[in-house]
Amino acid sequence: MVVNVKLMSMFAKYLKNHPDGKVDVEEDSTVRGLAEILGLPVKLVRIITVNGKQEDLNKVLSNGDLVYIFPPAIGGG
Amino acid sequence: MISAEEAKLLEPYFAKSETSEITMRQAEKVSVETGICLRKVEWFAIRKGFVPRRYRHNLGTFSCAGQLKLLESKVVLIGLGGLGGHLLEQFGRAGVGEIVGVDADVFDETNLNRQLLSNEGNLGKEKAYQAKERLEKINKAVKFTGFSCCFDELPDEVWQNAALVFDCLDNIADRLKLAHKCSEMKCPLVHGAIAGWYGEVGVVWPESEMLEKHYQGQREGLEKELGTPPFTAAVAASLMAAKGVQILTGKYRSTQPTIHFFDLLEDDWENIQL
Repeated sequence: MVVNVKLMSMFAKYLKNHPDGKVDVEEDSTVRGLAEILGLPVKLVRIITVNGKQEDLNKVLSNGDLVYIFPPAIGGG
Repeated sequence: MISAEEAKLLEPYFAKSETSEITMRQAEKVSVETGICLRKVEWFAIRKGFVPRRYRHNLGTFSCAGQLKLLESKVVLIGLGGLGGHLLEQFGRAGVGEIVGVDADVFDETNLNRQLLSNEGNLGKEKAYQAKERLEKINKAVKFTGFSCCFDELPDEVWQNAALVFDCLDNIADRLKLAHKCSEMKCPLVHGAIAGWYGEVGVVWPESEMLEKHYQGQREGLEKELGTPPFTAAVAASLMAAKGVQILTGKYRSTQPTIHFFDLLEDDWENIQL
């Protein structure tokens, strides 16, 4: 199945092999599985949303889901 | 906003007239002749249907009622750097009646890339006092008090009657400390932070613990690695100003604690409910 992925800020580089944001994953894959496919450092992942709702790494994905993954917090002014 | 005695003094200046605008010089003249501060003169003028010309292009957006609310409001800016400098500029021009600006630092050469209040001529000078000088050049009707100290050293009266506090700090530990203080005072806090092309803005309502949930124990941000460029600071500060004006004028609609993220490189905007 295919999910649509958006990676914010410093994570954007992990989508360079998927310029349209579409990523093939196995049925019943989780966000953690998706992060591993992309080579995303899971320990840096902070906020995840799936179809606009906040989720965690264990969320099971469905075909066509829209997944946002946000990097660590920022503090600069 | 004004006493009955002050209204009596101002009334003759605002009898019915064909004009519905008052210029900056006319308002200043009324202020000098009556001894009533410019902020009150402007407020009374709007009540009487005379729009201060300087706010002409505000009113289509704010309405007269909204402009009156802004003139009545007091806001506290904690930090006068990349975010706080832009907020001071925008609130001064918008006509927010009272602004308190707090920053313990002096300007440094590394501030020049993004901090609106810094320039080549004021390096080494206190940010809080430079803010006062800047505001006096923009809008003398606004009452400004600058404090060159940390926010936890402020006298209690600074916080009294504050409608909103703005988190323009540069580190997570101080941001959490400020959020805690605002929660105790039951005062809403507008948060903004930037790193690289990326920024976030959110309204922290008292007792929501939104920033604690947001930072999840993290104490170091990404900004040292990614930098703090001028345009990201300006966008984040403008979003904070817009949220602030929405709240002050009763136009803020969101009922859920929300953080607004933007990524200026990927042209991406996302709102996350925490």
